[in-house]
Amino acid sequence: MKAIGKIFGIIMLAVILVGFGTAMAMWSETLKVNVYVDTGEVKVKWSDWYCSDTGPDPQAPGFHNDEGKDVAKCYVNPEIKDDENNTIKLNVTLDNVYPGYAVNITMIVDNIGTIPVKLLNYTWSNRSAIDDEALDIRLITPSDTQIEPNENGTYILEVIVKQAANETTTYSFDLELIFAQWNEVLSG
Amino acid sequence: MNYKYIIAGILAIALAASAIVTLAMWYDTLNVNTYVTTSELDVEFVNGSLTYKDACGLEQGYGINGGNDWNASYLPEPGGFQLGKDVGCTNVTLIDSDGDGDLDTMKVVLHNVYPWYYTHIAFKIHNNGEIPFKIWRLTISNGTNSTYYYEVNENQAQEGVYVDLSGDGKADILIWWGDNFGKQLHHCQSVDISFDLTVLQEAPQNTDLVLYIRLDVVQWNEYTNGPIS
Repeated sequence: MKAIGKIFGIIMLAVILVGFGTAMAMWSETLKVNVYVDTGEVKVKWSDWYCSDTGPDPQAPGFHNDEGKDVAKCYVNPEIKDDENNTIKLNVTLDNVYPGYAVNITMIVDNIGTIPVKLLNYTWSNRSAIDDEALDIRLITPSDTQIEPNENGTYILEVIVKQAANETTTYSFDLELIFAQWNEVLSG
Repeated sequence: MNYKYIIAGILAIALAASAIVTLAMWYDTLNVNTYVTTSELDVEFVNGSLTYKDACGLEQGYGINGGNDWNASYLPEPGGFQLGKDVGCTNVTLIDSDGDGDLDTMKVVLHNVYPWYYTHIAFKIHNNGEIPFKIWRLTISNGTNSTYYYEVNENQAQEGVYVDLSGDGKADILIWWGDNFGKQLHHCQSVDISFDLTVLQEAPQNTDLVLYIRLDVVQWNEYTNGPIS
């Protein structure tokens, strides 16, 4: 019986080896796909900025400057640049202002990325009730905030000094605008 | 009960997932810092610029440095004629009423005066702020009641304004104020202002007549010839 079992085992091993050899010899061909995914970039910068006070002081409704006096000054300068020398933070300084002084700071946003962007939101910080008592502050955004790559959008920061402003006082506030890829911003 | 826990768990997971998606959103940020510094509107009487006729303490005599009284001989025209007697006198002081270091109020005291007593007071005001202003309003007070004037004398021929200092309803003095209303002063500029003062027939006897004078100015871009609403 033992001899018969050994013979049967040898036969099975032989059958397996023959089957494997047949499989290895099967005609075959292979197709391959290599996939490269280059992601885009969401990137914006301040490309230009200017102030509506370029000489005679602009006035709020109800005030007049028919004589064209230039009393207050408006300065807009880059404050922070990224490592590619793109301006990402502006500094607006309004000096020697008084009730009735009303100025618009126009700021141009360039989409320097590769993906259309939209304004996700904007937030004020360091802005207190005292500031709001003294100043009317408003950001005027485009009706459609979408900016295609290599195109731009215009944002206007409006500041009006109110009668309640204190003399020889400095008010300060910060504004942050967040731009996200267009397909993740619901509207605007 | 178990279903509620399951649904709550699913919702919590969904919220957490959406938060992660939001945080993971690609975005870029731009910032603006704004600093707004206000200016100062400031006016003062110029110390040392004050002069007036018949100052108390002057020796009797003629001329601007003499103590002889002046008479309003030319009314309704301004000006006076110096008499040969030294009876009354005028004392004027400048006061810092709000303690800000600027002289802002003029106190005029007429001693031992009588009808037709005349004096003339001159001074300078100075824009010691940063904003151009215009002379807007004159306030004349007896220390209790104030009267505001936005225009006193448009033409020289007009007599001026009648002021009741004693509160008896009768005018005690007449002020002829040069028309400086609307006069504009820029930063550091000053201007001469003067006025005539005549004691009237209805002035109370045996009383020092005291009046306080204050000039209000407004920034040039708010000036109007009258009350500002």
